[in-house]
Amino acid sequence: MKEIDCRGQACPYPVLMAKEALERLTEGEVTLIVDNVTARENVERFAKSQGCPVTVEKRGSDFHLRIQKEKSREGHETVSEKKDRGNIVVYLNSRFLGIGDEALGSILMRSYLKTLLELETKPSRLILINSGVWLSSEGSDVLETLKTLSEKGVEILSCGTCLDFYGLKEKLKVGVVSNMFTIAQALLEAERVVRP
Amino acid sequence: MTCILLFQSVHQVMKAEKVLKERGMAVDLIPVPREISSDCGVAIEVPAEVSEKALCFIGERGLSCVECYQRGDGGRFEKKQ
Repeated sequence: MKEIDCRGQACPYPVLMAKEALERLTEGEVTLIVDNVTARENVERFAKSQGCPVTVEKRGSDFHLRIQKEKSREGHETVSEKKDRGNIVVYLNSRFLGIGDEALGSILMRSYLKTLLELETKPSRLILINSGVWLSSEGSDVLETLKTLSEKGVEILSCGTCLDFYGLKEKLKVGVVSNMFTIAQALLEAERVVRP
Repeated sequence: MTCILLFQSVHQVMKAEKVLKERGMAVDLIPVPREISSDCGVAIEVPAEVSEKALCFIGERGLSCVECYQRGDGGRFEKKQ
């Protein structure tokens, strides 16, 4: 049985290792060893999203994650097809939701993001462009919501040029600074782009 | 524990939020939980211990909350008024 030691590795490395191992495997089991809770949760979530059952065993300060993969039968979707279907990008190109009154737009945006938190289907990425970057910056009233989404595995990308334009470069509080290359690619590769 | 205050319209919600923030209260605007229905889709959530005070502040400005629910530990809602 294959064992992969991911101790001392920061995210997303353990997840990438799990992904690679599962892709190589047609059937069987692989064990991943991680040494922190975040990696454990991320790998567990990833494996489950691929339809692979996981058993976690705590040994000392490490976690041993046994991931099982069943042989994909004909007519069944493969791991990568499943992954693609789940690749939903939410694209927010303004701090307001909808066109019209800004105060209303701001309320709708708060409401939208909070509702997203409650729904079972989560986007894989949230892209913030133009005034959308105010949402992930200091003083935003949706910071807590975005932080929770991020903890749940939603990757939050804020446009670097936009942060710079609005003087928010030092004020980003959640997610990562991104660039047009990554953003354009993420939009192209998404199974679905949601622009509420 | 928190209380959810429902209003007749989104305008009232916006005014009430402003009033409560001016008074330094920790208020949050939330989408109305599915378990509760209302004409207006947004509500105000305040810590339960200051909910009476919040209702007073709102009342002073001529705004009125139509319904008030308490959010219990299990995520259940209990109607208060």
